[in-house]
Amino acid sequence: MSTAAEFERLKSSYTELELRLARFSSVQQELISARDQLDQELEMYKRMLAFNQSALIDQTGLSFIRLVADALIDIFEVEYSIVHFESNPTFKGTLTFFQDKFLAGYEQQVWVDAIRALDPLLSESKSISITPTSETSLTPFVNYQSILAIRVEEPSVPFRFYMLGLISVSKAPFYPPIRPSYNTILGLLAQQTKSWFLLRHKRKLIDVQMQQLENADRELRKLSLIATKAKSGVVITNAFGEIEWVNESFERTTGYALAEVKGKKPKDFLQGPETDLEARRKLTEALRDKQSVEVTLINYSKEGKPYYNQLQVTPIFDDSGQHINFIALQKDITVEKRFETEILRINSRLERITTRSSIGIWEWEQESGRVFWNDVMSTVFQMEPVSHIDLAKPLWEALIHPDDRSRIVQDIMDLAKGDRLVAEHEYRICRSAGEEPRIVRSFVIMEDDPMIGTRRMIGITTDITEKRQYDIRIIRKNDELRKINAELDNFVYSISHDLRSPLLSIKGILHLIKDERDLTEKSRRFLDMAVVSTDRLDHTIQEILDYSRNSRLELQVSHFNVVELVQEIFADLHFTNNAMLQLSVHIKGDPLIETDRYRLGTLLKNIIGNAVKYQQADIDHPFVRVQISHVDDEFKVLVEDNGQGIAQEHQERVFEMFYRGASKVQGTGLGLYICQEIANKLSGKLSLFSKENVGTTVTFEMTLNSSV
Amino acid sequence: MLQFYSASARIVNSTRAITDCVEAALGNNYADTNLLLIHASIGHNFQELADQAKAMLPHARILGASGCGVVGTEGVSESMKDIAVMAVKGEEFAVSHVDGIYGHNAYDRARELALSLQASGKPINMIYFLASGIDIDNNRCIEAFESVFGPEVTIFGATSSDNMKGFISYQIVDSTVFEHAAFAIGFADTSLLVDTQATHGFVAVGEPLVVTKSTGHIIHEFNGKPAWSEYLRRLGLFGEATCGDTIPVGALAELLPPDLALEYGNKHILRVVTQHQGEDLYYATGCAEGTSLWLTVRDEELIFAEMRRMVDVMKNRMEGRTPVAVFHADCLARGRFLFNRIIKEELVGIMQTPFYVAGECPPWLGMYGFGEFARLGGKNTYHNYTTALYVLYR
Repeated sequence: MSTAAEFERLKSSYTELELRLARFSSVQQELISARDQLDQELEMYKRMLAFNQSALIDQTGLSFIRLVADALIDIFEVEYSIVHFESNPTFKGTLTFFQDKFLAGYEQQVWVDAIRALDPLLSESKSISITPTSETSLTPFVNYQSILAIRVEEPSVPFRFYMLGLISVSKAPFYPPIRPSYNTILGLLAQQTKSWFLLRHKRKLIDVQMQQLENADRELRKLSLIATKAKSGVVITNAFGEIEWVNESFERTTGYALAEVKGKKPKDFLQGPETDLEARRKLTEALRDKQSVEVTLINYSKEGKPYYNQLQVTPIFDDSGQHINFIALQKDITVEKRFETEILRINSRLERITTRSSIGIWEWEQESGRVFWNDVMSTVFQMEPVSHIDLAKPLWEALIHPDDRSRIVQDIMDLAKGDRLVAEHEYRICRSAGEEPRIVRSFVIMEDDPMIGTRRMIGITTDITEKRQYDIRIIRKNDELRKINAELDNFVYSISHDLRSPLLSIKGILHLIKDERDLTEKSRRFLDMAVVSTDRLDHTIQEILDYSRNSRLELQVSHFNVVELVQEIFADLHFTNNAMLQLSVHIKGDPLIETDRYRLGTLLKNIIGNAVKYQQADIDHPFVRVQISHVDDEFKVLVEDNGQGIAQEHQERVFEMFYRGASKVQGTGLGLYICQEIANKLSGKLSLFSKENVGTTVTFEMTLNSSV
Repeated sequence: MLQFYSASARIVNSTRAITDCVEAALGNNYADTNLLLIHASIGHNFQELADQAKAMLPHARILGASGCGVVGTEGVSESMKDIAVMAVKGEEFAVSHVDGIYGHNAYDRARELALSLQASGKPINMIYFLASGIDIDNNRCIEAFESVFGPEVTIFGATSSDNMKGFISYQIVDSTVFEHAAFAIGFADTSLLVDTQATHGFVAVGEPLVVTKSTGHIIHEFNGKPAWSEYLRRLGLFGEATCGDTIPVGALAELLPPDLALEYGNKHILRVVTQHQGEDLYYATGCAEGTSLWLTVRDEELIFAEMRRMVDVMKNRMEGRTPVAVFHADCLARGRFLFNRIIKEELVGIMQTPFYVAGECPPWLGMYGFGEFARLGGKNTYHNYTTALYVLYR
């Protein structure tokens, strides 16, 4: 072989070797990929193990389905997952969970229909992979590349579910094709999921059964306790009527202990001479025929004391229909019987009273239409009793005065419909032609008793024709009196006012005369006496005018400073003031108030004036203190002095008209009366506390807004 | 001073996953968090992750990326539902992002990112960079950052991925989810230092595939033949093979200069093919015509030995300073498609244990993506098929 040929051969071998090496590298990579695939599958099993561990945590069905949806993506690394669960025998109740917002964007029912439409492709409990070329019911919703799907049903329990993993076309390049091993793993995951649901289903069944047992046990214990502790006597006999067990109440009522009566028939020791024969016969026949029966009869206790026994006997049969026991409930109703008698007696008395008092009573039971009315109703309406509303209503309506009819009938219908509960009317009835209409007053209530399922209308009707005529006379009299009073007030005011003008002239003239120099001592003394008398008369007229103004004029509300008002009063009293007398005013709160300034001024002037007027002689520190409090709308004035005080026996009457505490002091006895009247006008309260030779405290309180 | 907190989990529901992770990382004290970085597997709903993160941390910047799996202090996980977070408290950082980054505009977009960081005025001394891993020229991205911050600034980070399908990858910036975006975090805490290194443990075999026609990061022909067919033929794969099929076995090796090979522990740096359009092959960096690319085979013993060597070197470079956080990018081809779970966890144990502080792993955020950034020979470099560690220490 030539060197060139040898070179070519060697070169070819080298190239071949080089290619083999590269191919070896490629094959090696395939082996690595295969190993990686195995690693991946192992990893998938590990992830399924993690799912199993999570599934062991106690959780709700929804959270478990969410976990499965997560696991589908976690294990298979698919893009989206759907878990759809249907849980009742008709598979109408569904629960669908999507692990992707995109999938969740559709109405659930759309998905349910699309998933169910996969049924022809899905054989039960076998995982399938749907290739990119297959169109399915999901195609319109997901532009998918491939689907991994399984449907699992369990014939023995009412549920089935679907598990789907999807990879979209857009993301498909990232995902490896679904390998056959995925179907195996999905099958296992579906089995795990099914086991969880089965376990949950069985646990629920057990829970229900346990609950039923517990309820039954509780019921039994409750019944046993009720039977033992029941207030009614309980007797259990065998099929022959011989006592097997009695409860504590029976023992208490009859005085017989269980040991004494066991094996005996109740009739042999409970019945006696007054036991009603008819009730006894009824009971005997029912027991003989093994029928339930309820009778009331007189029984006798061990001591021989009779009592009313309300007895209810029920025969008990076993599952095969064999009669095995009687259970008797007996109740001592002696007291109720006594009450029943008493109620009948009271009813009878009430009937007599209403008849005597001319009170008509009527009643309408809506369900039955039954109507009842008493004799007074018959008399007032001159209507014979009828028993049904269909008869009574037209008669009653026809009697109502045409002008009142529609209003009254409508009111009663509203009441009947339940729109109102109470109605009160006055209306006229026309009983016969030529007779003046009578006036009746009616008070009607709707009584609704859901406990016993009745609705009834109850009414009281009285003929007030005479009373109404009397009322009209009274009103007329009152109007006349009010007019006379007003005229009197006007008269007093006019007289007082007319008297005062000349009096003031007299006072002026007297003062002019006093200024004359050539008056004798005697004339001067008489003149002084005349001045004093005219002052007193002027004061009296002033008080009468105050009284008149208070009763005549409306409230004149204004905004003013109450402290300034008191200081003005102090200033007016300056000339009558003892130089030693200390006048003071203190206020707590806002001095600005809003009320009738004139009236409050008159009231305070009288009270403060009294305090100044009735000072004690020979006292070191005479004072009059005015304390005002104005907090929120509460206004209070307290006038305190250390003057003569008022004797205990006079204190109650000082606010009366013309009452004077002491005859030695001058005054009309109108001052405090006017104060009381003003206090009433201002809706205030005037009170007085006084101790003779110690002092007096007068308090005036009012709520400012109430007088406005 | 920046403070770091991390957590990871595998939870199916995306909202619950981010909630649990944030709470695990920060406890109930998360209101004052300034930055949250999320790495999550492609199976998660990224919009839900973003929305819930924003709802929990309304004052924080939220950044995230998709990957093939995560690594945290809790270990490694590669499923469709993994998540890991790194929460940062403190204000010594700046964030920028761009959308629409591809191979043809990688430089311009990355420069926009860099300029935006620079505009923050903060003394940025290291940059965490994360970009879409599909159709991008990562070397141009590095050039763009260095054009603004100079070659001294350390760029570390990764490219986002899906689960090795080369179909799509996601990025989160606050409340928005992108598919071709990139973001950068410029750390400006002067008390922090970063040390980065990458290792792979693959061995180049056979004759190279010579790039005979290319445009930027797109290779049209190998050895004068249509690139994708020639690539598959050399791999022994058939015409219907996808990028996902080629990634585990198709690492392409570029020869390193001898000095870099010594530091790297390997004569070659590896590159991944993340996409092909007909016969055109999308390379992870620019690839000039004439470049020789070798096929590689993995060497398990070398992988472990190089990992131990790398962490030892890094540990020595720390000179007793304390790690405060570790960012970690791993190639998705080094996960479940390379090792089984036990070996992989052992490998993660080897890389984490040396950085323990007082017996505990520091906050750790790792992801499986398409590529990794780490310095090599003192220069910022893009890697594929590596484990890259970025240790932040004080």
